[in-house]
Amino acid sequence: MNTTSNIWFDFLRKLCKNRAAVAGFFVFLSICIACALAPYLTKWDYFSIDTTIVHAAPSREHILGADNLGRDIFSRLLYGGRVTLRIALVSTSLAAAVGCAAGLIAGYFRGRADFFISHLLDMLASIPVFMLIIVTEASLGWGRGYFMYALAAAAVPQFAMLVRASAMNIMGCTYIEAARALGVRHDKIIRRHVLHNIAPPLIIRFTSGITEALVICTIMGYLGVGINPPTPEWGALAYTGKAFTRSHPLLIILSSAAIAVCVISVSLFGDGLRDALDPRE
Amino acid sequence: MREDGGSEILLDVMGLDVSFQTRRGDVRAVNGISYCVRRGEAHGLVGESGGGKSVGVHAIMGLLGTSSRVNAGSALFEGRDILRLKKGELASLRGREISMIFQNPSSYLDPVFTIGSQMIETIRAHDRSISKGAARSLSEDMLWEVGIRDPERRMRQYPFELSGGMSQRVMIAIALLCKPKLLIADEPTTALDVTTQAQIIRLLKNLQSRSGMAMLYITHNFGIVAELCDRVSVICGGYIVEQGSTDDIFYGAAHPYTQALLKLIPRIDSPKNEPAPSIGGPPVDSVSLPKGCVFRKRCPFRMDICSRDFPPRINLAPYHSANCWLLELGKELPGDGQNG
Amino acid sequence: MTKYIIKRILMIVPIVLSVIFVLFIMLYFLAGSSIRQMPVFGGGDALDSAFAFFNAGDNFITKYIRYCYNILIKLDFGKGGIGIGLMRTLKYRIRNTLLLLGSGIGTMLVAGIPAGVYAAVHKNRFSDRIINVVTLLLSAIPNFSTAFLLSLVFAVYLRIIPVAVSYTSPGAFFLPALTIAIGGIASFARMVRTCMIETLEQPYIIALRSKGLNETGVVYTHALKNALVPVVSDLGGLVSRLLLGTLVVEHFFSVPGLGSLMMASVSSRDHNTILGCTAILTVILTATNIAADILYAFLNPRIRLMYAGKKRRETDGERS
Repeated sequence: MNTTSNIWFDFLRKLCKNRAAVAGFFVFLSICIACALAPYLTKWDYFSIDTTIVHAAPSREHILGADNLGRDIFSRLLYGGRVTLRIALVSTSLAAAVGCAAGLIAGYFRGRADFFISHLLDMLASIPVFMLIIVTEASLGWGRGYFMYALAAAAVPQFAMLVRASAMNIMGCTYIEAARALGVRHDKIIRRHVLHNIAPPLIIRFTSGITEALVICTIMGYLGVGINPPTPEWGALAYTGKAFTRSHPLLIILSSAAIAVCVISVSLFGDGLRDALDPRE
Repeated sequence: MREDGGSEILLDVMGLDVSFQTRRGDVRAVNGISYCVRRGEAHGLVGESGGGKSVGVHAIMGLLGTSSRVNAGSALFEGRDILRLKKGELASLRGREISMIFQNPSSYLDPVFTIGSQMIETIRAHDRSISKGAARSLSEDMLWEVGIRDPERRMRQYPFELSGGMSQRVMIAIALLCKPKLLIADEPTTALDVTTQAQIIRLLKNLQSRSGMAMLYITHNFGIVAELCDRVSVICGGYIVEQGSTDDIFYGAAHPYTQALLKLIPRIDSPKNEPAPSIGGPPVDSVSLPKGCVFRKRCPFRMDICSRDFPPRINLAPYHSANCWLLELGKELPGDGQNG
Repeated sequence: MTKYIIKRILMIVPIVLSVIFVLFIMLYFLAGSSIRQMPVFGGGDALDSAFAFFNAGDNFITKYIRYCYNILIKLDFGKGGIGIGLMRTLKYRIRNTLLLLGSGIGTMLVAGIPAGVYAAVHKNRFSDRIINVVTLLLSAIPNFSTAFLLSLVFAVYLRIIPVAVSYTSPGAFFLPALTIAIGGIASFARMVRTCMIETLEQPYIIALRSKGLNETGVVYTHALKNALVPVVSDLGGLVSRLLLGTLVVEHFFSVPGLGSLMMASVSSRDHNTILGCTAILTVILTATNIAADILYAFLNPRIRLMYAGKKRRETDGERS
């Protein structure tokens, strides 16, 4: 539709004018790409122990030095980013997909499905995220697979509630009533009208979901939940670095900085999205 | 205009010029408008929405947001220029000397405080010596004055518990609490239904004649002007295009814009099947203000000269003036006097 | 209002029960779960006779009921991994965690509101930009990094506070509490700023100015109360984040609190202790959420009147 594409074009134009948001987007994107290309960016792997270079200072060979077991910090950061970012992105996408489906069913069809889904979500939402993760890990065993699903499950209610509320809001509009009266099929109404209108808040929610997942994932890594020792993860790296704060603070500083930069860039981008999608102005 | 006798001038606005900064550039909302309000008089500011009427009075009250700027002009209230008052002086003037009521009453009342506390607060903001109890009884009297039958109960209620007409009465009561000399009414009846509108206008008229305060009434509706105002300034695109007494305007509108607005008044004797009249063409875009007359793009009598310069003010009667090239060139307006 | 408060407080019970139910399922069906060894009978109390009356056996449901009965009525959390009563260990740790969390929430409210209001009032000016950047940075840095930076500054460079302390004196809680507070203040100030900016654009703010109220009254009495309504409704999520922060801080500074106990019992597979800790954390969190709900109703007259049970209806008492 012509008007629709105009709206999105207008939105992109507004977004591009927001320098902080554009910078945030590109910083996060380049971090993601750097982590994805880790094997090509560094010749060191993340697990080989070399006792001759324990706590080595940054040098030409190891540009950020080595950690307490003589592993290259730069490659551990890159490979750690792979783990952290994958967990954050996958869990948030999963939560968005499941939450979207649940919210649509609840908000569009109402009735008994709504009752059931809403109560289930309420219960899930009343369990704090970290408790869900810790108990999942404690019961299902330590491995990052389950940890990611627990993180996703904990984020589902927020997505579902948002989609449900928006869907119910849109369903109250007269043009949906008109479409229904004309005999337009459910799937078409959902695709054409409901999804279109839900998209903006959903995108914003998605960016804040990523920052939340990043924070929780790194905190869990720091606490040693869900990540097994040789695997680098930014939070886990910070935990390793914590033991040597006074003598070799580089590791904890760098891993903290990596987390902070990611969180800040995504939230700047999210703020820009929110401003650009704001119908006022 | 302003040198006439009669009653003393209360508010004298001269050359007020206000602009907004937006992404599309500077919007020149008000371009050097001048008018005056005398003691006890009701002055109407009439024009389409977006014409700069509201912005002009918000500027006088110092209520503009940060994106707007008063570029030039003065507004003398009893001889003091209120555009150049200090913050504290302005605050003590607002509400006590000049009060204001707004278009959408329910959104102009603080939703989380009771009516009573908002009224008592207003009184005590201007006079700390009045006790809470005394302020409460003053407020109840004022609510009774504006036609609210059960003031004690209303005082305990929140704005969302009131209907639109009731909220407007409350807002009027708040505005009149400190017996102001001037009441600025910014389209106070536009958001209300017709019956309530009539009640509120009658109420304002009664209150004004009883208290002798002056009123500056902003509207796009000439029907209200006819009922309420003594004198009128017609505003188009941030310029005043015609000024005069209500009779002058109604019986001898000289500017094509005024004539067009007058035609918009629904008439009880108009043919039933005729479509509702409207001024053709788009309203003035204040970002790219055309050189020359602001109304010329929609004017049925436009001439070449209209796009060159803004027309000068032509005095038609002692207190009646209009800015139009037709008058300057001595041409008779084809539609003149048709509303008479 | 009292009725509403009582209603809300009673809501703690079903929420806590349902959360425990989910966690109970997850931990019960584990291989070698210590919860399964929990006795159902033999408390010598009302529940015993009730079970006997219904002829209840020893199964998952009766275990769950017994557990809830014990913790809610008798405040008995069973035995920890090393065989001593869990309640004794918990008491001391609950105190520490509450101290950290409470001081964190307190400082967050006391410092976050003025910072947010100040930034909103000076929107887009230099001071607002500074506050904006600082709070963005502080809210993005994970708690363990804040803790690391603070310990570096206070203990290593300034040498004001020793690094290793015993948590018997309140002074020892300074750094941990400060760490929690910093993240909370930053997020909270940002929230207050956003809502405050929105509120300051509302028409009634203009009307208040037109009535002659001074700017302090407009901002601090009217705008702040309105802006706090949406802020308070989001307070629950923020408190949950602070609790997570408490967990990290307890770990970083080795504070003997609920979080560190829970982490320790996860690695020692002491399921009863995990369940006990989660139950208490749920109670704390639900209680703060409900406190936020009550505060919300207190600030928002619509909610208050809705639950007050008073049906105040608009009757047109206008005369023309």
